[in-house]
Amino acid sequence: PRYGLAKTYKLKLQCVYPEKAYMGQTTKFFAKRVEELTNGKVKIKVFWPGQLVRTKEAFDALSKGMIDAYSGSMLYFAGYVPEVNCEWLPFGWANPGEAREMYEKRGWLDLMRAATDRHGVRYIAPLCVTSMGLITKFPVHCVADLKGRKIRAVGMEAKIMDALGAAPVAIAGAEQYMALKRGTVEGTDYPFYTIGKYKFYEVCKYIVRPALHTPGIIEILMNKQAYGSLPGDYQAAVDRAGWEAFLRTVKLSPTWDEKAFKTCKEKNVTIIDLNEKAVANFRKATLPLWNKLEKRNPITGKLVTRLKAYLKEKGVQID
Amino acid sequence: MKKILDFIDGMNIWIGQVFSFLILILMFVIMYEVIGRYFFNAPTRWSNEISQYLLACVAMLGAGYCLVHDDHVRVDILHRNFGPQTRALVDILTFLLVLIFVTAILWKGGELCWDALIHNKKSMTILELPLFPSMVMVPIAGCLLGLQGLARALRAFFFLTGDPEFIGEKEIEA
Amino acid sequence: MEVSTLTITVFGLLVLLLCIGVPISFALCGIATVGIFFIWGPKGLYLMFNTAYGEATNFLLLAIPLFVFMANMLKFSGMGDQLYEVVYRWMGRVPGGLAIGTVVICALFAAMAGISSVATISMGLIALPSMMKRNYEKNLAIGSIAAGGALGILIPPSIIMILYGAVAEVSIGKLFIGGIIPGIVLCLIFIVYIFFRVLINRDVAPPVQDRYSFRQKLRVLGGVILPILLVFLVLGVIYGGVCTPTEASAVGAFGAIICALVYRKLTWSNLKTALWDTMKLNAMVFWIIIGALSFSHFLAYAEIQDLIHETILALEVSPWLILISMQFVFFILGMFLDPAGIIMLTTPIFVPIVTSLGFDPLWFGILFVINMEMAYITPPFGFNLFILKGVVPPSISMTDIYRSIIPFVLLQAFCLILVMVFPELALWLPEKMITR
Ligand code: NA
Ligand code: NA
Repeated sequence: PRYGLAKTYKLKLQCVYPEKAYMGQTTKFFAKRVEELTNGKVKIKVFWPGQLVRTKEAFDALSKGMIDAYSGSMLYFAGYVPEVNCEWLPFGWANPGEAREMYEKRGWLDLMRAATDRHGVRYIAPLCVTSMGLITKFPVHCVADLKGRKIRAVGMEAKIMDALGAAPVAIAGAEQYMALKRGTVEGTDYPFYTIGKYKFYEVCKYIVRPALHTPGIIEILMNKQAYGSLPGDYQAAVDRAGWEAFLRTVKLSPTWDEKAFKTCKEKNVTIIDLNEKAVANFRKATLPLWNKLEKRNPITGKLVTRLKAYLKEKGVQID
Repeated sequence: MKKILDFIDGMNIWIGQVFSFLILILMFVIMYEVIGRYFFNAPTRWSNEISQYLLACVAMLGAGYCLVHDDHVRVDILHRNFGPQTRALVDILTFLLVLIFVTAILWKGGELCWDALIHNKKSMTILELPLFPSMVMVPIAGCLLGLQGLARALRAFFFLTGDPEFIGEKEIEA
Repeated sequence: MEVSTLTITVFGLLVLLLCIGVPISFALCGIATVGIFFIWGPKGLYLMFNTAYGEATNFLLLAIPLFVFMANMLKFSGMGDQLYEVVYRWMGRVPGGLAIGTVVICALFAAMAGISSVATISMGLIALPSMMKRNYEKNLAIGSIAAGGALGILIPPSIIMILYGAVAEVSIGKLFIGGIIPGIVLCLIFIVYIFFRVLINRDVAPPVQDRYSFRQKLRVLGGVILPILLVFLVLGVIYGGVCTPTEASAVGAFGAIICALVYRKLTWSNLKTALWDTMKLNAMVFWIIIGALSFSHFLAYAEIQDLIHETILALEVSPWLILISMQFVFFILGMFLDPAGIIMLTTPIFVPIVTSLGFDPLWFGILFVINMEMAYITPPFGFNLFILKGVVPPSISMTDIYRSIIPFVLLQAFCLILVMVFPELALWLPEKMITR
């Protein structure tokens, strides 16, 4: 179709974060940029949590074209998109810039696109969701401190806690605060900004740096057919808007972390900074996860191998 | 015909009653988790997921059972005062509505279940259990609900046509 | 089709189907499917499966079958008889004592069960004949049972709160604690009303003639031990950090089985009847959830939700007026629909508005539940009224029952206003027990 005369496209995007949350705002930014870059010809209507489909069912809905786009974590679908686990390997990249390096220069973006392509889904862009790691009621200075401790964690996070010797407890997110308050669990593996936002400072005494994930990654995804039905220049516009949204989170993620650390200081939550040796031990304990994932399939193999290679270049011991 | 309809009733009642015992198992599974976690500091890896499987069975397989005796709640301000003919018409209309969404569930849900089966889709948990067994409960529920709706509608239909076998029955119900 | 035309068509159709008595869940599922097909196309139909599967594996909703089972088990346990005997011997001679005692028993049942039917059935079978025999006024006797039974959803645990918490993403634990004070307040309001009613006119509740020695009184007191233990067990495991509110349902159900065992009522026939009834009621609730959620997904997709949201927020009126109007909407809906249906239908639309207006969704949830107390006893569709009709002697007509609830609905409305004017009634305890 010719440029100025092209028809308009209206896409429905299900976002799993509330409008006011950082990721809700980033999703709105993405939608706005798509509209700007296509002169209003591609409109993305964002639906807020639960409006069209709940998170657990979102990937099926997306791959079947029930919804056109999705912004949220793919971790829920790790049972059939195992590649997403690579984005959540603990103690991998050390900051958003390094994550960017992986996606941009080391082929991660293309690999993730290949991973979701099989399911009829276009991987538009990753988004950084601030640091995510241990928020606990007890101090953690070394791996042994976690031994047998009940930590709320699901999916990949549960596997990590398991590898670290903790006892992962799967309880619903909505019940987390009270479970922490009452001691049903002794800690959680969660984004640091929630220390203020969900008032975890009221129920936890410690956070542990570096976070397991600095930063964690979520995704903007699109149904492949919906993406394919757009003219080429609009497809490029969508990809570009996605990448701009990513760069926005690369820039903002550290400031969101800073806010969390400020909250910690104001609310007397102790920030524990692990020493280099402790971090090495933590990483070592989770290495079986890395290695298992590396052997899972050709794509996870490439993702993990490249990340390991990159870390080695940076002088991080990884085998 | 009446025999077939009685068979459908009987099947749904049987399924509902037999699978109701899963509620007890559900209770023990959660108790096990709670006791293990609190007293022995040993949460299980499986209770959460198994409970969800059990819940899917209980919630889905009861649908037809609940319809046998017409226990799905309704606004009965008018219905209460309807004669048996009008009630029979409502039963037929109800079946049409059930047919509509059951078709959607079987068609699209069947497709998703099939995908889960052939691609061996798994859950996100440590156990990575297959999703198919719990997913398939939904189309099964669709079938049971559809059959029971059909049975009720046919009874209503034969009642309206004046079939002697079905006349007594409706009047007792009313 | 214009969104506004569509809105009118959809709601018109829904009202029509509901009025002629199509089961609520099927009316919602049916309309949602047709609507989705026309607005969204066949692709949208995945939604029906997605919603059903999603809710059938929603961990928070695990508590529904278990709390229902717990209630059904308690119904068989014979606990009601023993509790009533206590009331009879200790309070029989107090003016209105039997009615007051019945309300207290209802509150105790409410603290054990997540639904309202247990107390209503038990007291309908035990307390009502007893009060009638002692010449209690019909209205007072029936009303106190119907309204007392409804306390079941306000005093924790509560299935209605679980539903609200799961949809509005409000902590179920906080909702549970938030219901305690309003529940006690409502219970006290009933008691004060009964007491003064009897003070003004002794004839409505003549004192019992039987006299009991202190020893005889003491002997029956054992009957309150087990119920109180069970209350403390369920609340204790939640607030003692043993488990989450969801998991507490399993502990409660187990406790109810033990109670039945202690009272020697744990027969094979009781157990299986309890399970079968649970299976039915649970399926009913789940299909209402599925229907209402499918319907609300459809409303969101068709942008009807936006229309309602924007229209309401565009009104240049005080937020309080909107809040009060919502309570009226709940009250009207409560006359015709059951609370589970109302919650699933309105929460996705109302809660975002309430939050935009700056109100606390926790407080709104408690207001909602108090409102639903009324729904249980307002005609024409009042769950507790039907249950009562099923267990009372034939001499009591539906009209008698309708008449009896009027003062109690007004008292509930008064409690609703109290909690609206003093949000602390709902928010102070959660703040105290959870936040710090
Ligand atoms: Na209760
Ligand atoms: Na009502």
